[in-house]
Amino acid sequence: MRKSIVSQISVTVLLLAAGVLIVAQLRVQNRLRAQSYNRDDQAVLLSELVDAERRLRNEIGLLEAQYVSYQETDRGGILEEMVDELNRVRVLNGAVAVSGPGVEVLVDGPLYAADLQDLVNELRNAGAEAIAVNGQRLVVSSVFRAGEADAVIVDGTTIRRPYQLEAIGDPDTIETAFLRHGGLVSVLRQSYPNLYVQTTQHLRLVLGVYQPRSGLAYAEPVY
Amino acid sequence: MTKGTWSARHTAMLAAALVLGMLVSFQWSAGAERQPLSTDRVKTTIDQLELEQAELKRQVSTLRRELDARQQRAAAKTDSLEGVRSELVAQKARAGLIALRGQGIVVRLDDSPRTMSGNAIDLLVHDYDLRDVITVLWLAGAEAISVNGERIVYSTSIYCVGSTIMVNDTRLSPPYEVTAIGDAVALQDHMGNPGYLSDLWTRSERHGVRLEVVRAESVTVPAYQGSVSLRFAQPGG
Repeated sequence: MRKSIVSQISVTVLLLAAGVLIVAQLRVQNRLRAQSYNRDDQAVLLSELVDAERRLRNEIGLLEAQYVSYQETDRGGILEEMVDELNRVRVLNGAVAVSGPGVEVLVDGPLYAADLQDLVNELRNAGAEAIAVNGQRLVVSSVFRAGEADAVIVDGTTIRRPYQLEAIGDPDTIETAFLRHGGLVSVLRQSYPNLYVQTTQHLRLVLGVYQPRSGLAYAEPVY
Repeated sequence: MTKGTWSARHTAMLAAALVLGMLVSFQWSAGAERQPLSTDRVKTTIDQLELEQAELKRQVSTLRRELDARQQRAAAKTDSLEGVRSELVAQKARAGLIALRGQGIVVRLDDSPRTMSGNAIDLLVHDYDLRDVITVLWLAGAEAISVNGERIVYSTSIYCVGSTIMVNDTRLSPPYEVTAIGDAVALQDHMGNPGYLSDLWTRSERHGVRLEVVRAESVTVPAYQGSVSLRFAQPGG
C-alpha cells in the first residue's frame, strides 16, 4: 500500500513542478525538447520511477508465486488457478461487477465530452482501479463524444449533467490528487465559473458490468 | 537487489533522501539557470532506475509468457481445461496482457524540425496530442493500441514531466508511433476526418509538427508489461 510519506512528497513536488512547467515551456527556444531537466522535473520523475519500481517488483512476486503453484499443482488445482486468473482479468475488462473503497465525484456544469474524458483520465492518473460515470462502467476503450443538445455519449449511451463519477481505489490518494491545486479541477473552474464539484469518500462503492458490443474481429494473439 | 518485497518504507526513505539532497544542491546552484547535468548524481540515479525498470518489465513479460505456456500445455492434455483457457486468452487479449497482430494503422508524430523561437508549444508533440489520437482510434473501433511499444490498458496514464511524455510510467521520446489494430479503412478515415484532431492538424500544416497516417496489412501491438494487480477493487457487487 502506498504510504502517505511518498504521496505527500509527490504531491508537494507536483505543486512545485506545475509552476515550473509553465515557465520552462515558455522559455524553450532553439533546443525544442531539452534533454536535461530542471530540478523539480527530476524530483517528479524520480518519485514516479521509484513508485513504478515498487509496483513492478510486487507484480513479479505475484507472478512467481503463481508460477510455483502451477508447477506443484494437479489437474484440479490448475483449473482452480485458471478460473481465479480468469476472474481477475474479467475485473480489468469490466466483465464483472466490482466493489471497493473509493471516491464519488459529483460535477455539474455545461461540460464538453472532452472535459469528461479529461476528468476520467485525471481519476485514472490518481490511481482509480475501476471507474463508472452516471452508472456506466468504463473500460480502456470508453470514449466520450458530443451528443444532441448538451448531452454526451459514452459507449453508445447518452448521459446528461449532473455527472456522477465513481472511482474505486485508495480514497485519500484519489481525492488528494484529483483536487490538487493546479490540477484539472482548477483548470475547469476557470473555464466554467459556476462549476459545481463535490467529492465524497466511500468505504464501499459498487460498479456494474460493462457490456462489450463485440469480440475481437481483427486482432489475433501472437505466440 | 532482492526480488519480491520492497517495502513502502524503503520507497519513502529513498524518495525523501533524494528530494532533500536535491533541494540542498538546488540551493547551491540557485543562480545558474541551465547547467549541464550529465555528471549529476541525480541524473545518474534516474538513468539507473530506468535501466532497472526496463529489466523488471522484461521479467514481467517472461513470467507472463511462461505462465501462458504452462496453461497451454495443461489445456492440451485435458479437454475440460480448454474451454476455460480459451476464455482466459480472449479476456487477456482484451485486457492487453497478450501481444496481438492484425490489420491496422500506424500514426507517426514528431516535433517540428523548425527552430524558430517563440511559441515552442506549437512545435512540440504533447501528451494531450497522444491522448487525443488514442481517443479517435478507440472511436474508430480500434481493438488494441500501443505507443512506442507501450500497450494502452485500463490503467494507462499519459502525462508530461517537464517536456517529456510518460506512458505506463515509462519515459518516451519522439518520434511517437501509435499503432492500432482494427478495420484499417475505418481507422484511417477517422484519423483523416477534419472534425477530429483539428488543433493537431493545424499545428502540422502551420508549424511543421510531423503527423502521418499509414495503413498496414499487419501490425503488432505488444503485451503490457506493467502491474495489473488490483488492491482495492474486488469482483462482485
